[in-house]
Amino acid sequence: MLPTSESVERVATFTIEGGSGDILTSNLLADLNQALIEFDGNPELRAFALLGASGSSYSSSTSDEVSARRWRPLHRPAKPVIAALRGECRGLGLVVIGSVTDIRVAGEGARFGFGPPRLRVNANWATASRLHSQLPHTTLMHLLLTGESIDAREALRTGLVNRVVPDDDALPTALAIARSIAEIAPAAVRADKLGMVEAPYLSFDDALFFGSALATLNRLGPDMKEGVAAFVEKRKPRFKGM
Amino acid sequence: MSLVPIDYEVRGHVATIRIRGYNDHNPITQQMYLDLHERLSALDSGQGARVAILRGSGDRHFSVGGDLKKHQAQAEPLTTAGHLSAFWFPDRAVPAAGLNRVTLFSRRTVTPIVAAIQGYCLGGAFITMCLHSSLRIAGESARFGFAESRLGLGGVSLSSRLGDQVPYAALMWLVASGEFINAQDALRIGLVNEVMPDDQVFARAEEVAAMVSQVPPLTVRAEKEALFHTQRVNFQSAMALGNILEVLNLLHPAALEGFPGVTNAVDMSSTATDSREA
Repeated sequence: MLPTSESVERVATFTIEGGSGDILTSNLLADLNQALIEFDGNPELRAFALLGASGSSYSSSTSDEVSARRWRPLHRPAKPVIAALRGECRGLGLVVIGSVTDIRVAGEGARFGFGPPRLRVNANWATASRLHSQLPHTTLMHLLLTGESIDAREALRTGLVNRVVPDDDALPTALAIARSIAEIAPAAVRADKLGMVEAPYLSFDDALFFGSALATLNRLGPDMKEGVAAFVEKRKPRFKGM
Repeated sequence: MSLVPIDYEVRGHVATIRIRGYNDHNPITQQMYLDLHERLSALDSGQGARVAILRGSGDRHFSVGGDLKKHQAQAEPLTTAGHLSAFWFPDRAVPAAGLNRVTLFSRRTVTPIVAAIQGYCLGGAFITMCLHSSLRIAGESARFGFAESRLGLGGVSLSSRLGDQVPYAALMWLVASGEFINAQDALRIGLVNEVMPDDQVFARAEEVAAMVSQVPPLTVRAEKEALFHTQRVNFQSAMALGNILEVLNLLHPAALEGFPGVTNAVDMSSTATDSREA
């Protein structure tokens, strides 16, 4: 089944339907990349929900369609990406999750790993290195060197995902989170994500300067005044900024 | 009992810093941030205690952070030019401009600080806790988070260095969703060391502080300084600094005391011997 992409209530969604075998074909990845780029460029959209539908399996292609060509990183949006993960999330799928998603809801049946080392003759180790900031070192090494997978509970414990819910609740939960974020002042959300994406590369003083500049930029926009006023007046804010 | 907003009390080697706001949520005013900045600087000068406990006043909340109601009521709204001036010329900024980088967030503390948290620890107070405390004891009522993005202010969270402290997904949850996390989540992601019933928190914080106060002060300081200065350097550079700091520590006359059979051959009796000498 083809992935479906749509936007409702300022949330762009990209649904990956289930299937047997490997579903992360280069076409699907190209579609996802395009959806992420369009999401970023559309000021009406505030959050992106990447939804793995029932029984879906994100995995690296053993048919070499993807591994034979050079892996190009997916576009990483400036706005939040929330993922609902079900089933097997392996290899390239794990790298996709780790490199473009920010908040992850796993169904109880989700599993994460790289698959048996002996099959990964064309493995691109640079892609796995992207996960170093997503998982403890020991967990990453375990997945890479033993070929074993971890379950949803272990993914929660090690910080890879934020929440574990019954499988059927994964998509609605992720969507609810995306909708909730879509109500926050967009400039503030972008500033926070930008700061945190850059933070690992910044020394302390540089981080302070950067954060200070970001916060000043935010203060110059219309939404902070509205946000503070709404808080003091105990009402819902009406954000106008983009 | 004094009613100073940033209350500072020393007993032996342990200082206790209490954030006391005008209600039991302990909101922090601009002046309180400045006072806190001074207290922490004084600690690090070597004249203060060896370890500090940071907590809210009372036993309900740590602090909800910046005091929005008073800020809104008292502050003259800044013009665009005013905001820009506050950014480019932070030393001249007036309090209405909000926090800028010369205030609380322009430093990290090298004196070990144990945070004792009950109830809300939000916004600027949350940043303070993340930036300055090394050890954290939380009560079951503890709640952590940034409400700032829900109020339209973003980018401040970068000052917290939270990216160095918790896993990425947890980090993005805190900064992007505007939601708070509870004590159990905080424990799971490594934000705090221990979680216990609220009524045990302060006693445990005292215990931990007492433990830390027994470690030679220069050793602790070396550890924190080394960590701060090598977080973003390559391994070899980190080792080079670490080796130098270790040698500096070993030059101290009190080093290696308590190691049986070792005599400290270096005679340093003519130099300053006490880390607490002014």
